[in-house]
Amino acid sequence: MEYALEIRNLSKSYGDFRLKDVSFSLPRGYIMGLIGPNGAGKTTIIKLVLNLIRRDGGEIRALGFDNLADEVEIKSRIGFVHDTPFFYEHLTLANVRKTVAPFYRDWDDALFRRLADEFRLPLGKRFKKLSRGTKMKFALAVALSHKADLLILDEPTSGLDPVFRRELLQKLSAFIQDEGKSVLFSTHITSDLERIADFITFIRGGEIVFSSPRDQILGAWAVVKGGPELLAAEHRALFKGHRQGAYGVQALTAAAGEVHRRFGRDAVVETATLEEIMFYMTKGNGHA
Amino acid sequence: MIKLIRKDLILHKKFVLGVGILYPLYLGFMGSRVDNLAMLPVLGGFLYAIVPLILFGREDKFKSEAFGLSLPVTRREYLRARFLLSWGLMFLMYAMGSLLMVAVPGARLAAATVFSPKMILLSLAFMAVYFGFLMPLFIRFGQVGMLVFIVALQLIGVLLMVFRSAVGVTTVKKLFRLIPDGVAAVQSSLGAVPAFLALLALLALLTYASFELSAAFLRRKEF
Repeated sequence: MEYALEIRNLSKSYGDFRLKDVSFSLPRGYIMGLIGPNGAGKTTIIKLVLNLIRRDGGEIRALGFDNLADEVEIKSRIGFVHDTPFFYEHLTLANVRKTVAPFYRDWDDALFRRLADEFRLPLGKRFKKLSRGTKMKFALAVALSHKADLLILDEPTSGLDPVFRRELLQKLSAFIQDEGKSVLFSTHITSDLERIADFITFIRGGEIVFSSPRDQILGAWAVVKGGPELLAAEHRALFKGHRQGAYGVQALTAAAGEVHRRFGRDAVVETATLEEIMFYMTKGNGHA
Repeated sequence: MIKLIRKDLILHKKFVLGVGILYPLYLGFMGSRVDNLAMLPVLGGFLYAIVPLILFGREDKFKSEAFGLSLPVTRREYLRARFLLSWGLMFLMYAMGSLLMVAVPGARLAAATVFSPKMILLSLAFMAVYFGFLMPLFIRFGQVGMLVFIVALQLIGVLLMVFRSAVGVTTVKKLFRLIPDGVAAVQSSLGAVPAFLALLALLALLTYASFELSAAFLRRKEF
């Protein structure tokens, strides 16, 4: 299988944060969601791919190239949208385009103008005068205009209105229709990923918890709702995390069948959302 | 390389047109009012050397360096473009400032003196030394690096004054005479042209060392 992104045993330490032995792969032609709580290491991974920070160990290959040895080739074939777009604040969008376009051999100006129209980008306006949503739209237009094979987006939907979020997701789905194009999409708004992601990689505290096809994850995990008997010592091993409240217990399980067999009608088993999986795995046990 | 320089020129167009023109205008006019030749290489060299760094320091302000390095360029190319642009700016400002210094009505310095090979080489030498030290400090510490350099120069000045009062003015003068005497000795043993070329080679070596040190700092820098 050909991969758009392969990360092997990646490690990085700074301060009290450690990225530990991170490995995952994104096959070409798919969208991968990188999820995890704030400070989990999502942005660190993206910065490592773009060589904005130095890795302590491991290997990163994008589109078949090593990200250090073939840095220029990789960067010219990756489109990226940072969580806070760092364009040149005092320039107009037209001037930012003028500075950025020459760096990309496949820059398509007609496509840029089409996207600018579609996103209603005010090309004569200074970047710093734009709303966060419009800044994101501009960053996306730039990323798409140089015909990147891999789009890397770091929290692109946070702070965006639901209408544009939906448009963005449609855009990404359309992007990968062109075979060979792939997307790595970091976010903590997991509902976005349930719509479009083919693979989900969950990172917590600098470690990969899982990296699997979305349907496999959603099929494997369930939320169980029941009484306090769920937490009896002999059943605890079935649950990854739970919340106990005045009205009962909710817990995450990867053994829905076994839960059903043990508790029958005394427990309700529902398919877990990505948000629930992330919540229970991050927070562990506690009171609601 | 050209793309990077073009990017920086678009990005800092107003600054380059503003400071890059006003600064030599100011220095040229001030230089035309004095008859102290030492001002041109010693002070002028320093003032021209900090202009490119003020320009690059603006990227700290806009936090846009991370974006620049996300573009398809290596850090080394990025730095090479900065060195080239800096030297281009310094040359232009020096040329403009020196021209004005002799062209302004009432100028006290003669064109033959300001544009003598010795004066040009001396000005280049001071620019190369200032810029050569400033750039790695700037890459490593940002604008704080420039302040460190300026404070270090002042400390050296204070130390020299203390030294002078301790050993006497004549000893310090003798020490300072060692530099021009050394240059004169090199000139007389090599001949004027080879000595000129040797000094140029030394400046090129200094600039190269400054580039390599800056590149090592930039390679380690995280965004």
